[in-house]
Amino acid sequence: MLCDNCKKEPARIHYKEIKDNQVSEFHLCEKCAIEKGIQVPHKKQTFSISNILTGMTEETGSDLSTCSACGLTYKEFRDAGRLGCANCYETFKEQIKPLLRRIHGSNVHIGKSPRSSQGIFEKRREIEDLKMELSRSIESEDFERAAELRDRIKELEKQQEGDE
Amino acid sequence: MNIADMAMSTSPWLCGEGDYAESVISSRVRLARNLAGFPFAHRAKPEELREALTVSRQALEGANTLKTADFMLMSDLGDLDRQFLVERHLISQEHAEKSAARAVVVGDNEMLSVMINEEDHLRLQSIRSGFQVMEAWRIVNRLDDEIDKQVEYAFSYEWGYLSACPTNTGTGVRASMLVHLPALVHTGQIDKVLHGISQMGLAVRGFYGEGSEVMGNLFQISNRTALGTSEIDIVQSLEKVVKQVLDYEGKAREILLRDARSQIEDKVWRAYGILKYCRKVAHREVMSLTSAVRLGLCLKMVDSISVVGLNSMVFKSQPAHLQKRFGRQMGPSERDVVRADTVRKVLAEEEAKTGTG
Repeated sequence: MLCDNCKKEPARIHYKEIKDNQVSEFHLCEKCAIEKGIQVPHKKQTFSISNILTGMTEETGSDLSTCSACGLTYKEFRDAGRLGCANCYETFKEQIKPLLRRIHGSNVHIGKSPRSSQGIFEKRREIEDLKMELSRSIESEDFERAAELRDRIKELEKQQEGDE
Repeated sequence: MNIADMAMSTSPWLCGEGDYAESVISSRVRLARNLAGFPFAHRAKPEELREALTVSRQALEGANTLKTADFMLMSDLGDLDRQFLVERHLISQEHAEKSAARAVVVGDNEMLSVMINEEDHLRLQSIRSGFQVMEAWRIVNRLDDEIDKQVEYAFSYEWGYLSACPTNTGTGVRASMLVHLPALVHTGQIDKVLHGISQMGLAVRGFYGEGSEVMGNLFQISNRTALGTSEIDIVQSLEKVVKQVLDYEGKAREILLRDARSQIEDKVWRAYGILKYCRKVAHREVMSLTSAVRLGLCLKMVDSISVVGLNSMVFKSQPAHLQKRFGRQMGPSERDVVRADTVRKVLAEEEAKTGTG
């Protein structure tokens, strides 16, 4: 929707005026609204998740740490609630980890993975399954099986370190 | 299909198909994805943004599910066209406001679309009519697989798909349904229900998504978290909560019928009368009138208009839709007149179809 006044900018302020029993509706851009002396509630009301997010981030002494790939500082992230690139997640790992937990209630991805990393996810799942089986075999005192499982898990974990 | 053609037709995802279509207008799943090796869109330099656009475009052109899709550069579109796409639920308001190196791809009868270089490099979206959120997931997932074969996504083994905003990191999934809940509003129970929904870890938004307000008793219910839960679990828990909410709505409707039948009937038929005879009407008013008639339809008080007819009134009444249909810019007052003509015409056609009126 375009501003009724200048017909150039998108209309941001919508209001109704009642004059002599006649209701008229106006749609103005911020600039024209200010020119007409209409009080604009806030410059831009963006009370969205990102604002709440900023309140949730850690206020630590790391405000000056900077992402080596895109140059984003931790302070910039805290102010805007947006990360600059994939590498930011590495750079600010220690701060992001608790943040993700607070937002999502978890900080471990479960679910789809790109084609390129599917092997690794299968391995991770296999390790988890084996660990479950390991604890069961310890409970049932099948130590021979437990030893086998332990060795297999060790081997897979070593491979996994190489992959990641 | 270009924008002029779209303007003459109703979005195919408003066809009234799918379960609970009289109360669930639409189901939608979107995926947030970023390309590895590029800064996120807001941080990218103009040439990096252009390159991300080129890479994304190539990948989308290679996707089978988007074979017949239209690619539109935002910089080629005027303000009215962009607003039209917002009303069509194909782009966000944010995407409409920025244009350099940004684009939208619209395919599969508008049921599958991609915003390029919005907050994330790629925002894939699938919309279906009615209660079909699992189907929407299936389709958007297939497109995601096709793109995955051609580009490398920004992904971490620990945290999943990395997004500009940490709220989307993980699966990148936002699944939502647009649900009509008039009886819960009339009986004053809606706040309690909305509170319950948020305690279940879901969010409620307005008609145009995040940051928009609720109009015509239409609520958009969606997941709020994206990490630590699989895509299927996200979709299934949304299905479960929406079914529960529909159940509450059904009970509230029974109460209305039992205790206030004549008031409801009066409200429904007055709304019907205004839609049928109005000469000037605002969009907000159409939203609330169609809500009353939709309730009347569900309660079997009205049978001369279909769900599709009501959906089409709601969408055709939007400001940019009217202006695109009539091919010219119009001020609010002229729009109100043209909107009234449009609404009356849709209703007359519906009545002719059902042999009533």
